[in-house]
Amino acid sequence: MLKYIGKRLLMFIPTIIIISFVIFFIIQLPPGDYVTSYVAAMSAEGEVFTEEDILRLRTQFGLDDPWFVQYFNWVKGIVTEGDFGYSFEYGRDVWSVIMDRLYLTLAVSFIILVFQYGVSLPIGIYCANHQYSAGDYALSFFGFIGTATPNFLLAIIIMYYIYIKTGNVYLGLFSTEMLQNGMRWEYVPEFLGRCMIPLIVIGTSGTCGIIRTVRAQMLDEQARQYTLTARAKGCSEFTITYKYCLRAALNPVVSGMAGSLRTIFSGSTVSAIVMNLAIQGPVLLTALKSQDMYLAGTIVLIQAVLVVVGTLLSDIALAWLDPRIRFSERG
Amino acid sequence: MRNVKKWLSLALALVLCVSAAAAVAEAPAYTEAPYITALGTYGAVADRLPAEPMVEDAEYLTIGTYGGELKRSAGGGNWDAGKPIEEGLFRFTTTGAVEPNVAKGYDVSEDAKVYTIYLREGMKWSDGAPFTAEDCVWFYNAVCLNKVDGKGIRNCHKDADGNPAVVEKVDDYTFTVTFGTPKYDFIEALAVDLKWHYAPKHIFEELVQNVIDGKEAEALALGKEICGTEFSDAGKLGKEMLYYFWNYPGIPTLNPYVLSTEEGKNSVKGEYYEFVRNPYYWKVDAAGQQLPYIDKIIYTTVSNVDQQLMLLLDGTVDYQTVAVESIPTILESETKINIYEWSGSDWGNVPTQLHLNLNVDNANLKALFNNADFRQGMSICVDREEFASLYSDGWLAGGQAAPQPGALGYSEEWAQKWTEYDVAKAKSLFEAAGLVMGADGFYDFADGSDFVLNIVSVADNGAADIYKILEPYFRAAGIKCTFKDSDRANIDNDLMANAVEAMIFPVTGLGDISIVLKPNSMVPGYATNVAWYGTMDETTATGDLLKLIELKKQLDVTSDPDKRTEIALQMLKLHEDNMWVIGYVEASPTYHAVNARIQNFLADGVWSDIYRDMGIAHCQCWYIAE
Amino acid sequence: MAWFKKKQASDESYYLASQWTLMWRKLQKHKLARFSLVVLAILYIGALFADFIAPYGLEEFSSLYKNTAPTKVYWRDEDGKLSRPYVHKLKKVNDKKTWTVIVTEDPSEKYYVDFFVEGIEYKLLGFIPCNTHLYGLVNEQGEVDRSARINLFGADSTGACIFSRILFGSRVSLTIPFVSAAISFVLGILLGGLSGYFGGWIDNVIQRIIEVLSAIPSIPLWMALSAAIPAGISVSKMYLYITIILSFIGWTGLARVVRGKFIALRKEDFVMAAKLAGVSDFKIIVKHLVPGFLSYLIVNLTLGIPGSILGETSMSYLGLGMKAPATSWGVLLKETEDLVSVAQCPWKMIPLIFVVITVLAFNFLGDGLRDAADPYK
Repeated sequence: MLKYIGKRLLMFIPTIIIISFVIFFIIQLPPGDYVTSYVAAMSAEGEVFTEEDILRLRTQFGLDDPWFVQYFNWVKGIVTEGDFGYSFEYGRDVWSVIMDRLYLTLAVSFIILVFQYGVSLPIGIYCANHQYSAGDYALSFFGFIGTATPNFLLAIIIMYYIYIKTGNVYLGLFSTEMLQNGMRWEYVPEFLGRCMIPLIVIGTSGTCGIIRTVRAQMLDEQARQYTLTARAKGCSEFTITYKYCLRAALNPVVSGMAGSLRTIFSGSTVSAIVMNLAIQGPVLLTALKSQDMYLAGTIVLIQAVLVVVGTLLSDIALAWLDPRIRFSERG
Repeated sequence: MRNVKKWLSLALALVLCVSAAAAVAEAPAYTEAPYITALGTYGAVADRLPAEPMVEDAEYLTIGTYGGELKRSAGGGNWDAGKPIEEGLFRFTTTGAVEPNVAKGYDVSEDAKVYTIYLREGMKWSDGAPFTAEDCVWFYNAVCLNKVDGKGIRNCHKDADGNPAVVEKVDDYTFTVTFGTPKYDFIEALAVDLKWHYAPKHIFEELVQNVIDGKEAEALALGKEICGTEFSDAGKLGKEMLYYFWNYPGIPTLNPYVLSTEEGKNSVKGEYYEFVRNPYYWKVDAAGQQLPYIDKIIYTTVSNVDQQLMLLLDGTVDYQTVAVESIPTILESETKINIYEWSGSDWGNVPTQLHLNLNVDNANLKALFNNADFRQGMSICVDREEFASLYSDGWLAGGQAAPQPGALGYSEEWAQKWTEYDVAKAKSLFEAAGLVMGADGFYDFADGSDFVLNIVSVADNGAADIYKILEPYFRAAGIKCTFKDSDRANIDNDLMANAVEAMIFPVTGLGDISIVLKPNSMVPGYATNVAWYGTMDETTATGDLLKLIELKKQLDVTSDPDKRTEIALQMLKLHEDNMWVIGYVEASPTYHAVNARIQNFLADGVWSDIYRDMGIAHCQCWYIAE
Repeated sequence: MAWFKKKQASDESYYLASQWTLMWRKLQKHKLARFSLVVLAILYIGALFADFIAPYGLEEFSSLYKNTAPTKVYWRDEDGKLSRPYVHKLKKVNDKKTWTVIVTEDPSEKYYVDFFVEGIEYKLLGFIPCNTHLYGLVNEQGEVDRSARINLFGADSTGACIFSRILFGSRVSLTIPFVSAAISFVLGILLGGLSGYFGGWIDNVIQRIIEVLSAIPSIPLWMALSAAIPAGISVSKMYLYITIILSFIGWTGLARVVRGKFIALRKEDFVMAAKLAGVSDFKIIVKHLVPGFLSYLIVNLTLGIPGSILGETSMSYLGLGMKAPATSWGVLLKETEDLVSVAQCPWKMIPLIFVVITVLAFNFLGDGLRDAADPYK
């Protein structure tokens, strides 16, 4: 096992290098660069730029080098100085921009992840144990409504109906008052209320997938010979369900977790924009749109590292879950 | 002997003091906001005001009461926060006249070469330092002439030969601006081009000197000391700190509100920030109360129009310009919100304007676009009434790209020119313009090559929806079109590279308050992002377009006001004759949704950049009555 | 006797039936799956005959009907007697005081609902020129009059009929997501299978490819792709291209799951037995291993379709997807995303019901298939 992990860790660095190269290539693909979008934003507000201004800006930002030179300099900065580059848009270094929203992003995404798995695993098990019952149908139905409704629409509908019912608009996690006066104890109930909307909107979009997967897997496992044997030998239903079936049923869920780690870092971009959540996703989108490439590049790179780490972790978890895999990984 | 002198000067000082005290006693009793009094760190209000404060006493204003917060939503500072609180040396009134603002007044020599500008004695920066002619003169000589603010010399400071003016200090409250050739419209041009003409020398002198001397590191360190932001380079530093100064904490201004210096409330890129009243603000109301009335403007950052609307609905935001279709939702809300309608200054509705690049590279297209028959055909092949009604849900009628009623050059004839709906006539006009009907039912060029009208626009602004209803009309008239919308940045890039053939919802629409004051959108060569003339200037223009540019040059050196009007009318006539831009819908008003607790809102303003958009509503005069 | 013979025959046919026949039989017994199959069939027939069923074309705009609610169809005339179904034309006033557009029915203008009426021309099934539409309005003289409209699900911001748009949109939304789901599905099983079954360096290479691909962020990729596609190309084609390209990246999730399963299964006795019996690797993968977790695959496929439909909505939201007049369900949903639509025109959310129905139908069909595929039931 240790040898396997060591081998995987060795592969880590070349993989990240390839990924960072691909990412940088994709980010610089759309036409134009930061200067173009900067000039656009400024002239939208009534400024006039000359051709000469633009050339000067481009030299100033180091954008007149070919992209692979820019890539090389960026990577050199990261490796030698831990410097992730400069965000043109924010006018300071990339890392400090990311740090601004890091904790909130991690908190929000982590809570959502826990909510997703916390809600959907039991529901999935319930649905499998009560296949074709009214409960199974009802939960499937609501699950699919959550999945089939685009997050942005669901967010607007929920926010609007809360407004109609209460006269309050719960936009973002913090009210203007909270932002103005800082967090106080009396704001906690409202804050929790505000958290519910993103939780429901982003949470429900993923739960259905997990519910259906667990349900299908559980049903498969329950029909297996070993389950029948266990039942015949008089094992309790509880032991059968949770000790044997669930363990095997979790295999695809765990494999799929690798991708979840990425969303932990950036959050759900579109929903975050609609609900005005101050998390990383919208920053990434604006950075991409304004071609603030080092900021965008760094966020995407961190996501990529998380995906690779997530893959590693989920492989380890798989091996732990399923002795057959452990055995074959060793051999 | 020495002693005598000492005593004498002491006596003199005493006399001066007494007379000063007498002067204070004579002046009206000024009062200040309880907010300032409560802070307790500022002296008497009379000491903070200039000797002759500016009195905001427009007819529609009522005497207000102090206190409260003006709540707004924002998308990241800059002009959105800047225009409402901007204070230029001179400013526009709602009737289009220019009046002294920061300046107390001005004189102009008979030959219009020398302008003497008077400032208000005793006026102070928001940090309490005196504001003098030195700040204005230094700003021009150190900042503008050396292009430290990234902008350099504005057109208003150039004479007819393009040479920069000479700006000199006369005394602490007087300075002169001298031109090589007569400059008849300096004051108006100043109000349009540069607006403020000053910067706090006591803060920036060393920093600017470092930039000029090429000592970048020192300048950047100083910049960080002043506003806490570390800029990447001297260019950015100068632009941000001297041009976008209101966006940074710690830079003194003359504005009614100054960005907070408190951590967590001082970044216009943050989720929340606030502008706090300037204790040294130099305007009072008719009752002698120091303005502004409202203590703070607070901003909650949002990311789209829907969020602005939602916050308006529940009263989290007090003021917002809104789209007409959202008004019913606003009026249904429990929060009491008033709607005000302002007229615009554009020539017809800009989003629906069709700009054909008259300077396009392709020779076939260029000849076609410059052919008036073709433009007339494109104009009359659209059923304007149905189109306008569909586009605006009945709020706007069909129209043409022409000055609004009441504006210089307006005529009903122009407003109705080429507005009939006649597809058959449009087709014959296309044929007169040299197009030939091809086998596919679409027109081709005479040489047999395909004619396709490639229309572009900025993404996410509704242009795609406009194209969707416009395109079937063009298709029915035999014009094949394509449409691509992309990011604003790409469009600007293409405009500068002359790669745009045709555009709807142009970045810069046709029309403005005045062809004289701001010709950018109306005369080729004055801006880089106007689609209908692209990269055209006097070297590439021909015919009436060249005539238009020449008239503008002539205007710059004409003194007689009647003659100036006459030239302006000639320029407008050229537009009327040629219809270089095709408009389909009449101009749309700007709607302001204002929470009913806000008083003194300007009910019938004009929305225009040279009036500083919402700035002309003078938010320093707003007050809150719950 | 006859009964016995019949039973014997049926038993015989049961024992001799192929696996697929058995599955089909079981599927028919699954009520909900059967119902879902019918629903899907209706939806697909609707898509196939969209231009015949839809009363209006995508470009039949109308300022009068802009943002208007579903048309009310009357069954009784003014005297309360049963009558041919009819509707009233609308009239519209802009009230400057309240800034509302007041839309009312004009009782003096009566239009009857008629079947097989003339409308805009189209090509039935893509090649038969035709201008007959399933239903439409005629005036009291019995002539076709297109100034009045019957919009069963209301009208959008151009006055176009939402029901018609849903039909036309289903042509895109019920097909293209399949292309992408199918490509991802095949690639996922194939590459995941290879990786898990053979292990070793093949596994290593495929795993690294998966890591690189799944690390590629979708939004910048969408942006790059949509910027790269020229203006002349039709939007639905562009959407197809983008979906195909994305599906070449989207298989990684499934591949990982398949690999995990294969690693778990490949050392099982039945695989060994098959190998010793000389069964080819490909056959082992397809015939022995894949059926072992068919239920997961079905879930994955049924979830992939709504994923694809919604992926397009997200793209539209970011300004990268399809654009009107080309219509898909994603475009229709995108048009409801603003607050004013939700508040003032709730009928614009009707397309959502269709998305949900489709997704549910696929899911229940998947359920049925899963049960049918399960040899132990």
